[in-house]
Amino acid sequence: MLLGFAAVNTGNNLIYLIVSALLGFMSITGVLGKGNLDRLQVTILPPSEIYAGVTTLLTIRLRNQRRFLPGFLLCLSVGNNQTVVPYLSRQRDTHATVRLCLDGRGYHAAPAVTISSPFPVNFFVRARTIIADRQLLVFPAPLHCVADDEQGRSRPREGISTANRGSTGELRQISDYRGGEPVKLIHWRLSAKHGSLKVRELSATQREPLVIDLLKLPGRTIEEQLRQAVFLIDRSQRNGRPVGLKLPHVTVPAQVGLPHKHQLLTELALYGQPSHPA
Amino acid sequence: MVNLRTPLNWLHYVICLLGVAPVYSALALPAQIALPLALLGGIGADRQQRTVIPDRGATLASLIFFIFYGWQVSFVNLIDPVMNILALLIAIRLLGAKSGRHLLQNYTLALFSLAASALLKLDASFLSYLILMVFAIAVSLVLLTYVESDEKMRLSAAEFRKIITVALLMPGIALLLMLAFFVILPRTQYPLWNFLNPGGTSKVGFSEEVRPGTVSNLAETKTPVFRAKTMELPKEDLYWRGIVLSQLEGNNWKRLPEVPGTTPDIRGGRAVAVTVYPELNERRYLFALDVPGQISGIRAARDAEGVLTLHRTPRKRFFYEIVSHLGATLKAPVRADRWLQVPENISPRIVNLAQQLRAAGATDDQRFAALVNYFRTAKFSYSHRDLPRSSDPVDEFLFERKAGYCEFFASSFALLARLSDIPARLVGGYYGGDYNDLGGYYLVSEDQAHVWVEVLFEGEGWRRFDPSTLAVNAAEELQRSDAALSLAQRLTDAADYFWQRAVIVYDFDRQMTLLFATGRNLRALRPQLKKPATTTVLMVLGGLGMIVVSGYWRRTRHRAHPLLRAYLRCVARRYPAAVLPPRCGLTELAEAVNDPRCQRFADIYGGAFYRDRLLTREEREALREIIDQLKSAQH
Repeated sequence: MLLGFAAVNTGNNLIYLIVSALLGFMSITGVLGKGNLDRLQVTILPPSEIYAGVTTLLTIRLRNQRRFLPGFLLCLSVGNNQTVVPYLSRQRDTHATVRLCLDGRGYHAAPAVTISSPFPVNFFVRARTIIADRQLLVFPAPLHCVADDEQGRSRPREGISTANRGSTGELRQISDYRGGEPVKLIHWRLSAKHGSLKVRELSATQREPLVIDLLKLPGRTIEEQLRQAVFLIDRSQRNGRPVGLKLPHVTVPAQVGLPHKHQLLTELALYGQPSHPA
Repeated sequence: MVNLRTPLNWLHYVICLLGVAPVYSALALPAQIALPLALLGGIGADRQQRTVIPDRGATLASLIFFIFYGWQVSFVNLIDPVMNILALLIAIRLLGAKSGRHLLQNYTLALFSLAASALLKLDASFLSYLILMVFAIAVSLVLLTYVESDEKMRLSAAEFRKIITVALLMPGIALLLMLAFFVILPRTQYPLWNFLNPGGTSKVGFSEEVRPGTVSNLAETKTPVFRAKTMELPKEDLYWRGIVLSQLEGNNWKRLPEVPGTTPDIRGGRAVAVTVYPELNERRYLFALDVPGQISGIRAARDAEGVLTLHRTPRKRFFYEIVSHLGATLKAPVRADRWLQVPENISPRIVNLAQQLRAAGATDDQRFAALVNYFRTAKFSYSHRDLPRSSDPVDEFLFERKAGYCEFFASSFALLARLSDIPARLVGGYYGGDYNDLGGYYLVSEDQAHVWVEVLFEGEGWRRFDPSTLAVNAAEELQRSDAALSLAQRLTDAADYFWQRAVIVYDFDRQMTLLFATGRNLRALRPQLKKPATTTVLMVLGGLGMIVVSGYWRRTRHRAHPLLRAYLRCVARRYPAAVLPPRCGLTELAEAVNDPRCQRFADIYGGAFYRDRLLTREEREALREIIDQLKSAQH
């Protein structure tokens, strides 16, 4: 402003040159700042298990669909949590993780992702909010509980190592993080290498089947019972023990395996919800 | 990995240097000493990651300097205190903390300092400083944005290179935009603060008086006086007329305050158009090839003696166009005694010589021929050294030393002519010029200042005569100053010439001229349509243009209605994660995103589209409402 005022009042063409250069610079920074947020595709890749009230890591895939302009200093925010992508080449994608905590079991709308950037000169921060059209299923958070057949037992019974997934056996394989694994099992070095979280899978030991009768669990409320059921399912699954679920309206026979576990957790997450029988 | 702080610090130093360098020589000694010390201190402190002056100390020091130099500010002394304040504030900032805010402050100070330099001088070097500074600030601001985002951010070398590439691209484009903004930014005809602009300086060389014998040696300087764009001309035509001196007082030739007549009466000659770009100085006389005719481009008076005078001392650069009449004679309104006036105390030797010359003939021509013959046979030599310095330098020149420069030749010749009853006067200006074929102009410098004589012949008018050409060594001495410039000198001077033409003299009048010329050119297109060839070309181009436009319109029309395009944009933003089949229809889209609003849009739009009718007003409003709902849902 001051320089513009000086230019007009002195008629000095050199000051006019400075003002012209500044105006030109401001124009191009505006265009570049806008272009930096254009044609970015955001995809939310939630973990396969999200527990109510438990902070998990939400993976966001950010794709730069532009033909010429790379992405600079892109800040991805979910709620109060954010992560920064310093540079994203054109026609490339990257994965970023942000912390996410959802309260209450059942379906939740996917959180809004805000992409913002102070690029190029930090005079203004431009932002775009993207609401993904998908829902996240949140399971009840596990609550410690002891099954009837385990009461009075000081430590888990020894068993033979099986091909099933667990947390006590030997290293079986490396797989994608699904959200429920303990942090100690995350393989950070491989995660950094692949750009997505990887966890160590350990083998489990074979045990006799456990069928959980929800209403007979010791919790004081139905929510506590649901959470205890989740705990038991999760622990049984880790130990390679077949687990089933008995609900008032349905009984799921005991089995092992991840799809089975998800089926049980889904039943518990939606228990008593509208359009789902109690 | 690249630590962004390091390049950021170096760019900071460069920006400070670029801001201060153009004004450094004009700074007071304290600032001249403080700046380099602060720069070195700042570099050292940054390497050790500490600050020399804490924030409070920096504020206090800034305040002290501000008060000290602010006290000196006045209308007549504004630029110097301001420059010193700016320089010292930059120095303090170099030694202080280097947060993003502090760096931005110093960039602003450096930019102001560069702007202040524009009030000192108008060199083309300014553009170099400006371009470098714009690049440095642009890159620095981008890096600063990263550092502000995360102080400890490290980037790979490849990422760093790509960021720098884009950061460099920005000022590149900004400088192109600068040219456009420079042309269109509003200007005023009479800037109020014009007094702040750099004034001209008096130069040695051309003088408004001729006083032979005042110096023993004449210093020559190659300082440019003006550049004149015209065709290349023979050397004998390159007499740049400036001032006419008719009054002789003792040895001092002066300009008479009043000149009879109003406009010069020019007879004959070959008209040549010349555009003159003078360097800024405090003279009010304009120069033009002898004999100057009509002048345009600036308000100047032209009197009967062919002298061009500005109404006021110029405060800014300007240029003018003039038509000169080479070889023309200037008619005198009357034969007046003013051109025969001589001082009282003339040496007896000069009087005797004049009597001999007067006895040579009854007519002006005969006496003039005798005078010329005397100068030719007396073997005068042209010299800038060991000049006559007695109380009567003309006498000493004519009879003793017989050596002098143009003032001696012209003064003695005019005096003898007047004593021989031939009206004569002196004309001051420049002779010659270095033709720059790169720019197509003459560069005339102070060392080419020259004085010659005009002699009035009854019935004919004023005839130019240069007595210096009668020196025995005239050929060598008068050609000496025209030694060809080297290619580097010509290139440099051509760059400066174009700088003056394109930037410095651009003002409100030229802006208006450009505007009107654009309008005229557009209007002039109409008559040209009558020309068959042009008409054919324009018709073909017009036809091609129509084909392109209609094709685009049809594609656009079939592709999407504006409302449809807006709707698709909204849906894409509202549901970025939705997986859509290629070329899916509106109904498919609505199903894919499972939004009842989208289904409604598909129904309304499809209802019109598939019945091949236009949307009704109510339908358009309904569609707009859906789009607004989708837009608001995005936020």
